[in-house]
Amino acid sequence: MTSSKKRKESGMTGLWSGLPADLLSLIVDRLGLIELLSFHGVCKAWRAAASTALSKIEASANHKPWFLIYGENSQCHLYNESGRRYTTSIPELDGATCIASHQGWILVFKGGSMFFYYPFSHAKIDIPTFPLSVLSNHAAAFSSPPTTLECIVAVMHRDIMSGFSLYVLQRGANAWAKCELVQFYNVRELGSAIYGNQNFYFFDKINKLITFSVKDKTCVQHTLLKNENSTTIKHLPYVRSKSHFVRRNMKKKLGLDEDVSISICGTVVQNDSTDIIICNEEVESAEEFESRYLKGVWIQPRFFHLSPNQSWSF
Amino acid sequence: MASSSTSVVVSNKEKENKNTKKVTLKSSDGESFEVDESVAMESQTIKHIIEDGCANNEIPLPNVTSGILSRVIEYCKKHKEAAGESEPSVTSYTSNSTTNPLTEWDTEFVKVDQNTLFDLILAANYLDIKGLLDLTCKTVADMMKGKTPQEIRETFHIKNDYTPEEEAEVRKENQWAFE
Repeated sequence: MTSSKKRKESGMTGLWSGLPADLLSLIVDRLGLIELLSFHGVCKAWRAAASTALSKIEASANHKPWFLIYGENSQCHLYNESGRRYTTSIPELDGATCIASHQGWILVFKGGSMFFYYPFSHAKIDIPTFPLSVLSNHAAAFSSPPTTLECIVAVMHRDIMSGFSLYVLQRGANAWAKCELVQFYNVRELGSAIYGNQNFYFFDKINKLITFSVKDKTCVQHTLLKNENSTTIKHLPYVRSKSHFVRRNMKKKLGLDEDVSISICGTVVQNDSTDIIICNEEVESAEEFESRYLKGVWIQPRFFHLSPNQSWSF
Repeated sequence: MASSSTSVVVSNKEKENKNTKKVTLKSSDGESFEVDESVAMESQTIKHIIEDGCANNEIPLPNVTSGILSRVIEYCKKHKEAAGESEPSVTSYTSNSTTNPLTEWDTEFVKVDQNTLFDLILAANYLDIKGLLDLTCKTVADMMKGKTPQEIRETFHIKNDYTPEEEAEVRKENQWAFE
């Protein structure tokens, strides 16, 4: 074996980086995401070996998203699916609100300015200024990561005085488009939004659904029915989890006191047959007052190589 | 009375040895190792050679030095013993310490220098010994836990082949995990 000869001459340098890729992947398979990220940064050969394993982790994390807590200065905490906590400083989230989360990217609103943020590598993509400088009840979603050519963003906004308004932004566009809306009946507080099959779906917190077709640029209102086995009624390929945070006892898991209130942005999680929409959630303080007001977002860890200087325009 | 029971034990052992088939493994540096065939068959590679009827005299293993081969044989012997009479292919190699009685032994076994560990991985792969491959890979993975890329480079003597620009990018990607 020539490698043992090489080793005698140059000491140990080159020993491990020369391990064949199939054996490297056996080692990589035994690393968690954080170790993988370190592994990824060691040298070029190891970087290549880490890529496959990273995709596997991403796939498994599809079912159990991580949780990012922010809202008190720039200090943020990221919790993985087994409750392990990572602390990081994200000054961009100070005074900001996350309004959508998908594939590791979050859409952030900060007093009129809007941007995409990828917390796993602190990447930021600014997008055109949003027409409103204050957001009240809203539901937002985007079709795919902002680095993709076909990314579209849609924000449905509900104002007590002026009613509903819908804003759409296409990748490369330098301004938001306001869409004409028909009158909605009995649509209450908005609770979640997702994108699928060239449509945006906006759900209220009860049983109303507004679909927006990207092609036709029209909205249609629907009412959701439970367990109807009729062939004439369309089946919705999603299931909503409305109190995801509460049902998972997250306050306790995160070590938060009962008098903390938290405003949470949801995401979509893949399941075998049906995708699960984790709805936006407002968790109240259990006491009469709130000691702290925090914000949170469900996020799926994704790892991809980002070239620097990403921008919204082409 | 005591001596007769002892002699019974000895003669049973002799009977065992006479019935056990042996096979000879030859390392890359020409050293021969005689082992029980059942122990040698912990290696799927050797098992196939024997089953294919190609193991007449010695089985040459040009990819394994004597130093490594002796360790591998030690591993196989220990694990075969622990598995009892069962077929090698049925033995389960779990790394769960509550079910694997050899966890302590395994831990000591891999307390070796990096060159040896590296060679054990290659040998376990070449000889197709799942348990040993699992054990050695897990050992390497454990050596990386909680380490930054630079710390990993130092532990494993790896040269940083990134340009300063690439390095800055890489550092940006990883920095959040260690605050």
